[in-house]
Amino acid sequence: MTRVVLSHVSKSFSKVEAVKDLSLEIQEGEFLTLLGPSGCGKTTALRLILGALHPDKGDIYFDDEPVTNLPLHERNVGIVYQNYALFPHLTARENVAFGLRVRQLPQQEIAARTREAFKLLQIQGLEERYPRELSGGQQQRVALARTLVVEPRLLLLDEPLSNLDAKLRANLRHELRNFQKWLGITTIYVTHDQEEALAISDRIAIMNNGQVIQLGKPLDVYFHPRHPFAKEFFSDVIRQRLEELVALGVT
Amino acid sequence: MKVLRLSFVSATLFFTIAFPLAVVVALSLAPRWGYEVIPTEYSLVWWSMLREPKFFRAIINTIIVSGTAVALAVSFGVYVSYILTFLQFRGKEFLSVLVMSPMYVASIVIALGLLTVFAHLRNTPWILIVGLFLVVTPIGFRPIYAVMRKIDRNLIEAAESLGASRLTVLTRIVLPLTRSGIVAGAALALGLSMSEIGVVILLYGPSWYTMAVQIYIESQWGLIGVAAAMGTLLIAVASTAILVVHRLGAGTAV
Repeated sequence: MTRVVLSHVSKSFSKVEAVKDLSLEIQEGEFLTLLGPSGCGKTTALRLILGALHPDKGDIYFDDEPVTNLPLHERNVGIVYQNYALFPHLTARENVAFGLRVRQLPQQEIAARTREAFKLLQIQGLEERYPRELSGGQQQRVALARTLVVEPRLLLLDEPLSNLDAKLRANLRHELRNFQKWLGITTIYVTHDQEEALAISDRIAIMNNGQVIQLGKPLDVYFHPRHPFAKEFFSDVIRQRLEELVALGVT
Repeated sequence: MKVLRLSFVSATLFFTIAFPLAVVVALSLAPRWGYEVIPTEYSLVWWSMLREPKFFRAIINTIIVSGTAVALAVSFGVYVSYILTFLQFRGKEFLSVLVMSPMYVASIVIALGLLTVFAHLRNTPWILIVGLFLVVTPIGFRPIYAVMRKIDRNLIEAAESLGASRLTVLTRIVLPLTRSGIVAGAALALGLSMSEIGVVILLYGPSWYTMAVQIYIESQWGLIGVAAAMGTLLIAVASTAILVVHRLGAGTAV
């Protein structure tokens, strides 16, 4: 369980300021969603926490330990991407075992923990398949197994559900949430899907122009938008809902 | 229309590749070939002359020199591709043009420069290796870079997030995913280096010469039959080498 603190973090790309003076605290075991339209800086914020980017200004702490200059491979932060990013030349088993192999653990432990991870995510039987032989949902589970098997301090999810069809998405969303609660792992979720954010999060941080404009529990953010942008952003959801109801014949 | 197109392509290929090759093979087998359409008698007289040690030497030299030059060129190609793909620095464009530059310069001009700079390496394999390295590097580098630059960055980050260092990412992820490019680059470079004459003609010495040089010398002496036999052998050796590279590099396609 890790508490993450971003303190006055800024990051620019050439002339564009992707993240501006961002301060954010993510509690131990919390499921926090960074929500906003594309280009709002949510992915940059995620990549700063991951360590794929380093801030121009400001600091990042994991449990009061500064990690601002710690390289990606020493941070022990797990990530699952929208495209899953499974290693295409390795089987599902080799993908899951990758992090353990890198740590040079004994063969027996690698085998045991890999087996455990397959069991946990209910993907037994897929061990010898290559990623291209797996469905989107299966790839998603393998990617999650690969990340969780090394017991990361922190789990980052970069729109991991948006390549799946609607029904599967709803199921996996639910499962992901149960899983996260059970493991108690601090999780940061990035999405532009308001409904998903409302359904899954402990807290939501709405981002726009590289800043967090509102931070709170899903219902607070939804019913009491404090910023004109937040209001506008969520009214889209309400409009969508109404349209869905109209489409269903409820008038 | 389709038939026309196909026959155009096959006719062009026939007259530019297959026909001259067939003539070379026929030349190597004909003790005499005057004005007949096809030779009237065949023998292995030219081939039997290849038993002289200098020809054997030429074959061994070609394999040693080309093999080394290609191994170096491919390694260098991997290194440059890695730098261009994964590191940020100024002058990237310049580097990618620089690697390709030997392609735009006549190889004999390159050889002239090398001859002066590496004068003390004359009649050693090294001067030939350096020359061939320069000539084949662009050809070997191209397919490697083309494959490597397409690797999904998320794969690299995912591997690093799982604790893999730069070196581990290179050996476990980047190189396996670049394999098809490395094989293609090595095969192309081998084919080119074994038959390269432009740079070799100025750099060879009395004991370090190649099959291509030997072909040139024999034909200058008027021994077209011997040159043709050597030429046939060169094509066979180069094809075998390329086949071996493909065999070694075979594996699960990604």
